[in-house]
Amino acid sequence: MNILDLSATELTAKVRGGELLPTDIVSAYFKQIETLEPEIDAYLLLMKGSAFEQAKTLENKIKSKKPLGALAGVPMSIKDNICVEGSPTTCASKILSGYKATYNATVIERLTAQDAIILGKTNLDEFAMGSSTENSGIKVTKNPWDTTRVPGGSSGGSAASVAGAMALTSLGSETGGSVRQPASLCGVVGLKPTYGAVSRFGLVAFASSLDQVGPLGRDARDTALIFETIAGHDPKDSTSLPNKVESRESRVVSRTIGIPKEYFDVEGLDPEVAKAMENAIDTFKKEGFTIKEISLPHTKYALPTYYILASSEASANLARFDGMRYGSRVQGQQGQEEGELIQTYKASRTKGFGAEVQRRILIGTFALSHGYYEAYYGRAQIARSQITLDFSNAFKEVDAIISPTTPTPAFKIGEKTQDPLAMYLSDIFTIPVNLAGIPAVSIPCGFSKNNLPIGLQIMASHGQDKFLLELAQSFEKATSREFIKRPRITGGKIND
Amino acid sequence: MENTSKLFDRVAHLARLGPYEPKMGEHLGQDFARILDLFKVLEQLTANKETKPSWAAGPCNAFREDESRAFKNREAIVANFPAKESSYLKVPRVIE
Repeated sequence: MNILDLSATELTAKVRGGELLPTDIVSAYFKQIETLEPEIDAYLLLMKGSAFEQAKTLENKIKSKKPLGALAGVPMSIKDNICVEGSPTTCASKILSGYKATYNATVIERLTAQDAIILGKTNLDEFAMGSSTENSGIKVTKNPWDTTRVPGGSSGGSAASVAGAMALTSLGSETGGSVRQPASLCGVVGLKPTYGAVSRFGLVAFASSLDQVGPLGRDARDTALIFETIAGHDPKDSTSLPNKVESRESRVVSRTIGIPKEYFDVEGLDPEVAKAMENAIDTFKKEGFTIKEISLPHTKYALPTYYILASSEASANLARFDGMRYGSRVQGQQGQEEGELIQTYKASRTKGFGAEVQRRILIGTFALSHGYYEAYYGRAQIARSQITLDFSNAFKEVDAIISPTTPTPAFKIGEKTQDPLAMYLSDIFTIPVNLAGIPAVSIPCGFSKNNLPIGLQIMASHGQDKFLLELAQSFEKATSREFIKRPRITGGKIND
Repeated sequence: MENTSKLFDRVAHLARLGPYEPKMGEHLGQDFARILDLFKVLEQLTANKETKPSWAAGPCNAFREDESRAFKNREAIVANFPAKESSYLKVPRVIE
């Protein structure tokens, strides 16, 4: 039995049955991490000591016949913008170096209460701002399918850790596609839950009206297991939804899937991705679904709307990192025009934040500034409402909407770093979902000629997360799970 | 709109960023102008006056009671202080 081949459901069953010891699981995963991490760089922090402690505690529970949690022995990685008590939380930023979280995020409390084991904290684009993990202020993570390519972002470390079997499941976070896009590029499953379905308490804020913690797993069933554990009302998060969320649009259960024409008529859509979509549509047809072309007419406004709103919220949320209230301090000097205090704020922020974070703070500050607010922030809010309305109207006719998750498979490291607009376009299909607050999942649906994974995005109406994951599992079953694969590893080297 | 270069400098000051090395400033300034161009498409948006912000759930008051509570892990918070005097956080003078 290869422990790394077991799904979360299989693994917990074996732990319960006494066939598998939690310490053996942790040993197997750390052996894999020690083999692959030098090449992949998925982790910012390995928590080997505490992982073995958690495993031993679980073994004592088993010996004393205490009830075990739903995730008994499931080894997980956690994106390093989610607080784990006693461990550094860096957001991959120099400005947070030295900070240790003094409390657990609610999602961590819920996972550990169900006996999940945390292996470490994963790399990300600094403060979750990016689509390739190249904006990390610490290191660049590589894609386990091809180490010359990006794993996507911002949860690139999380996706790479699952793809490389360096964790069985992971937690990432989404603001504009940061779970689904890396899941697509790394050939794993990633869920962006309905906004408010999962607590944000203990997630470092980027854009609070869009941020959401989301799980990643090798398949839809494992991903659903993590989602069911972390979802639910949290009084510590003022945007947390009540436990029973009724959909605003009752699902039509007509077994109809919508194909938004605006998502398939996009410049730069890779022909191999388009072909994989055709195959996915055929699969749903064979499963008895009716396919219907739909229109989401305000899609073209999604990208600018997102970058105005997310950047505006980021400029406010990150204002606290000034070297005084939060963040590393760089002492400024008394200048001719500005005093020592302003110079200290500026020096701390300019040295502490990377270029992409500064770019977004600048855009956000501009969009909120006197004289420009109405034309930018105000107009973007209206566009957001129109985009949300597009989805509401569509879900009156269809159960789910499908599209590619990304326009292309994983791109080369360095290919887009000099052109932020080209980088932003890699999230063109994921961003509208965050603006509307609806759930969406990315699942593997094909491979390119270069053996790079291609992701299918499935979107559903508010509160339909469970239905979405059931649909994803149906797709996996209908395709005989042929796209659920791991890169082959020979002698410590990745052989694609 | 005012001159983009002047606008960039003004916004950087408001954001408490900079001053930049010339190369970095030029690079960020160019990106800033290009991103503003990207936003121009929103000028085509014809808003229906009845369009209101939509939310996943109806608004409700989610604020907690305004009661003081002790942090359970005070020592760990104090351990994060970059400078302290006894258990107080020591900060530079912020009133000029």
